[in-house]
Amino acid sequence: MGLRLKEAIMIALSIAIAMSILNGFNYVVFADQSSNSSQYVSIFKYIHRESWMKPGGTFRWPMMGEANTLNPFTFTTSWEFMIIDSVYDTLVEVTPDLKYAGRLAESWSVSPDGKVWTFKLFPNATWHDGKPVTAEDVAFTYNLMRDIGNKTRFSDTAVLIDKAVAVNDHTVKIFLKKPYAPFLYMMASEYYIVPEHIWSKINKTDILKFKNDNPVGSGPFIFVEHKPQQYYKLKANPNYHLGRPLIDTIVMPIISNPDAMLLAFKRGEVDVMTWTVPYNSIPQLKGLPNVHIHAVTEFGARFMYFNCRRWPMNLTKFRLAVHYAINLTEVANIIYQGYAIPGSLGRIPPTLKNWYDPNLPPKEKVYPFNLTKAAKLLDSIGFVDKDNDGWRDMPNGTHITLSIYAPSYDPLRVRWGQLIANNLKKIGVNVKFEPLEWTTLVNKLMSGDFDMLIIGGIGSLDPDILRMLFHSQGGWNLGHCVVPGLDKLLDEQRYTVNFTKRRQIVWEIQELLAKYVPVLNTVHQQFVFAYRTDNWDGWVLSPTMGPDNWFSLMNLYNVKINKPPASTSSTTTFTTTTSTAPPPASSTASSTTTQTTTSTTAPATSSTITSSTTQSTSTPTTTVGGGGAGNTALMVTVGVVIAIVVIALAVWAFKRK
Amino acid sequence: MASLTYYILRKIISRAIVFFIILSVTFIIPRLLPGGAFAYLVANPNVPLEMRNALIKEFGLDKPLWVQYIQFLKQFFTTGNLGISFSRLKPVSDVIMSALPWTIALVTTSVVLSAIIGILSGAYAAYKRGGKFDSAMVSTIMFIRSMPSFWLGLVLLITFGYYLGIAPLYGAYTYGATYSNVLEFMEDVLGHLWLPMLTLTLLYTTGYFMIMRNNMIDIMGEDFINVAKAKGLPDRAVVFKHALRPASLPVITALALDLGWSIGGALLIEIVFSLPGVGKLLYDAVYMTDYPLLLGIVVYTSALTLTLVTFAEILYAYVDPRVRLR
Repeated sequence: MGLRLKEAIMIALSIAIAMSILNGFNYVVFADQSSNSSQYVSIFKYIHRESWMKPGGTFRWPMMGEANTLNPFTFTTSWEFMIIDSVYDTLVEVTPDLKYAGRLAESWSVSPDGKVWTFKLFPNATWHDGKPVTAEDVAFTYNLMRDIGNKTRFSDTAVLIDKAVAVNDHTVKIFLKKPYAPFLYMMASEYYIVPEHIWSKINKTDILKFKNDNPVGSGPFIFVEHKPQQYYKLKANPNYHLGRPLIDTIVMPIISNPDAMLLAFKRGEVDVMTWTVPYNSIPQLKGLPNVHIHAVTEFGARFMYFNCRRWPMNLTKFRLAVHYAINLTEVANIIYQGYAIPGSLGRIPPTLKNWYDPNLPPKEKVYPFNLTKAAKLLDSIGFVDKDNDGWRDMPNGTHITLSIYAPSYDPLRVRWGQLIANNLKKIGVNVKFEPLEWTTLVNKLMSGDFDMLIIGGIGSLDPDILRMLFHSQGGWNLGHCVVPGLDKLLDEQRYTVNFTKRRQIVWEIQELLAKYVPVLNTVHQQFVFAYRTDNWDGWVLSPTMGPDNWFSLMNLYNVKINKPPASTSSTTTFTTTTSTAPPPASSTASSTTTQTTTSTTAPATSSTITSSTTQSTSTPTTTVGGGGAGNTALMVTVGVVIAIVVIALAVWAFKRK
Repeated sequence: MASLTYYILRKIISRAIVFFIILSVTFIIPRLLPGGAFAYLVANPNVPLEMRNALIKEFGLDKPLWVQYIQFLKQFFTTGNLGISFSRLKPVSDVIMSALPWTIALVTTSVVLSAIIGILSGAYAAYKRGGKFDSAMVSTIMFIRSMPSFWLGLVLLITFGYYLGIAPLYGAYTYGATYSNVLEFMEDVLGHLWLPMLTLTLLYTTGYFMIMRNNMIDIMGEDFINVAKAKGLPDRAVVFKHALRPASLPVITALALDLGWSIGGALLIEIVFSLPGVGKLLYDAVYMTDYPLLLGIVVYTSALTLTLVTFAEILYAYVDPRVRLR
C-alpha cells in the first residue's frame, strides 16, 4: 500500500532531518583570562544608558525548538539557555572583553590557597516574586549542587564544592575541596542562583524530572508565558538591580524550519538569527539594508581522532604521515571558502590569545603537505607493501584496511575526509572512507571501533578542555592516545590559580601536542550570525559572544521610539583579546583570506554560541528544504520550468485527442 | 443477523490483536535503535556522562528490556497511562493533547477537503475520460504526486511567504498578539494556516483523484451501468446516482486510513511551516529518543486508524452483503 510506504519514508526522512539538526559539537564557552580577582570590572561599564533612551517595544528572538526544561541545572539546549540566562542570574558574568564583572555579586575575593571564595552580593537584588535575594539563597544553591550535582550538567565541577556558608545577609563564603583555576569561569558564571524559598520545597531526588514551568529568578527578564511549540514570552523586570532593560517584551517564536528563519529575518520579522547562516546565503544578506553579519571562530576544531589502541595509529610517525598527507590551507580556503583558520597543532585556536602558544609554528610550516615525506615515514615504521599488490601491509605481511569515518550530515567534513583518504591511497595505504549517520558515528566513537574518525567541536575558552581531550583519563580522549608527560601538566594547570604560571603550563602542553599529534586538528571553523538594526540598536558585539548575548539584551533600545542624537554611535564593539587577528606565525594565503573576510564582513567581530548550547555548527547542511533559502531563486525557476513542461505535455495530450 | 454479529466480533478481536502487536513493536523497536536512550546528549560536552546515566536510571531504562516491557504493559492496561515524556517531563497524553487541536485543524481539514475534491473531480474525469479535463488533471496530479511534500511546501512558502509576502513564514497565528474576540483569532489562524492547508490538500487530493477515477472507469464498464443507460436515464443520473456510490467504496477505506493517520500530523509540512502539531512532536520524539512520547503518538494514531477502518468495514458489511461471506 502506497500509504504505508509514505509513512516509512516520512519516518526515515524525519530521522535524517533529526540527524542533520543534531549538529552537535560546537559547545564553546566563555573565557577565563585569569582567576585573579584583579580581572574584576564593574558591570555598569557595559550597560550603557543615555538620557534620551526610553524603554519600550517588543524584541523578536526566534528559537528553533521547544525549551524542554527551564531547570537551570539540567538544561541542555541553546533555546533553553536563552530563557534561563534571561530569567536567572549567576554570581559573575564574563564580559565581552573577557574580564569578570559581578552580576549578582558586587565584589569578591579569593583566599591565598585558592580554596575559599567570598562574594558580596548587590544589596538591592530581588526575586521576581518580590522577596530579596540573600546570601542564604546563594549558599543554598551551591550546597544543593554539592548534594545532587552529580545528576546535573554541573557534575564535573559540583564535586569540588565543600560547603557554602552565608556570613550575613549579603556575604557568602564558598569553600572548595581543592583549588580550582577555572572557578569563576566554570562555576561562578555558570551556576544560576535559585530562590531557596521555592527550591527547598522540591524533592531533591526529583531534580531531573523537575521541569520548572514557571521559573522565578532574579534576572533582567520575568517569565510571562509559554505556548507549547508556539512561543515563549518574557517581560522586562522593572526592579532589576542593575537597571531595567530597555526592551519591554521579548517574544520568542519557535521557527522549526531554518530556511524560514532566514527568510523571516530577511523580511525583518525577527530581529536576530539564532541559527548559523549558511555560507552560501551570506552574499544575499550583505546586500540588505540594516542587516549585519558576524563571523566567529570556534574555540574547538573540526578534527580527526586516531585510535591509538590499534596499529599503526599508535605510532607518532604514522600520525605525522597523515599530517603530511593533507594541505590544511587548501581545506580552509577551498572547502570552507575562507571561513576557517587552518588547525593549530596545539589544539587551541590562535584567536584565543590568552592561551594560544605564540611560539607554536603552524602545521603547514613544520609538517607541510608532502606525500613523498609521508610515504617515507610509513616506510620507516615498516608499513610497506610486502606482496606487491599495490597496498601497504602490516610488518608481518597481513593485509590491512584502515577505516575513516565522518559525520554524513556535514558535507564539508565529508569532503576533507575524502581528501585525506584519497591522498593516503596515493601513497599505498588501503583506506576505506565512510560517512556515517550521526548515532552510528557516535557509537563507533564511544565503543572505540574505528581507526580514524572525524568529528568537530569540543572547545572552550578555558584550556581545561585540553585535559578532557588529551589526559589519559579524559572523558573526550576517545582515541586513547597517551602522550608521555602530558597527564602531569594537564593536572597541574587545573590547580594553578596564578594566571601567568598557568599559561606557561598550557604553552608546554601545546608544544607536547604539536610533537606527538594525538589528533589531527584540521580547521577552526567560523560561524556566521546576523542581526538587524532597523528596530533595535545598541548591540554589544564581542569576539566571544553572539549578537544576542546578555549584554545586548541589557543595552538594546528601540529605534522606532527613541531618536538618538545624530552623532551617537550605536553599536558597542569589543575587539580585545580574541579579536580577529590572524594566526601569528602563519604567513599562508589562508590566514590572510580569513582575516580579510572577518574584517570586511562585520564592523565588529563577534558571534559565538554562548555557553551551554547545542547550537548547530555545521554550515551548509541540507536542511528540511534540501535547497536552503540561498537557492530559492533557483528552486522557483526550476519549479516554473517543470510546470511549463507539464503544461506543454498536457496541451500536447489534448491535441492528440 | 447472527452471522453479522459474529463478523463484527471477529473483526474487533483481530483488530485488538493488531493493536497489541503495534504496541509491542513500537515499544521495542525504538529501544533497539543505535545510540540508545538520550543519544542526543552524548555529543554535548555541557552534559556530562553522569547526567545522562542519571537520566537513564531515573526513567528506568537501565533495566532489562523485558522488565521494562512488563512494567509498561502493567501500567498501560491497569491505568491507561502512557507514562512521562522523557523530553517534555510531562504526561504523554498532556503533551499530545496540547498539539492535537492544531493538527486536527490542519491535517484533518485538509484530508476531508481533498477527499471531497478528489471524489468529485475523479468522477468527472472518469465520466469525461480522455477529454481535456481528464488529460489536464491526470498530468497535473502526476506532477504534484511526484514532488516530495517538503519541497512543494518550501517552494510555496518561499513564493507566497517571501516573494509575494501574502502568507506568513512561520507559526499558526501571530505569536504574542492579543485578540479582542474569538473571531479575530480565527481569522488570524486562517491567515496562517491557508498555505500549509493548500499544500496538504494538493498532496492528498492526488490519491483520492486517482483511486476514484480508476474505480469509476471500471464501474462504468459494468453491466448494471449498461442497464441504467438502456433504461434511458440521462448520463448525469447514470454517473452520479448509479456509478458514483459503488465507485467511492474504496475511497472510503482510503479516507478512513488517512483520517486515522491525520492525527499523527503531517510531519514534514509542520516542520516546513513551523506549526505546533503532532507531526512536530513526533519529529522531536524521534530526535530526542523520547520513547514514551513516540509510543503515545503511535498508540493514538493506530487506535484511531484501527477504529475507523473497522468501522468502515462494518459499514461495508451492511452495505454489501457479499463482504460477510468472505
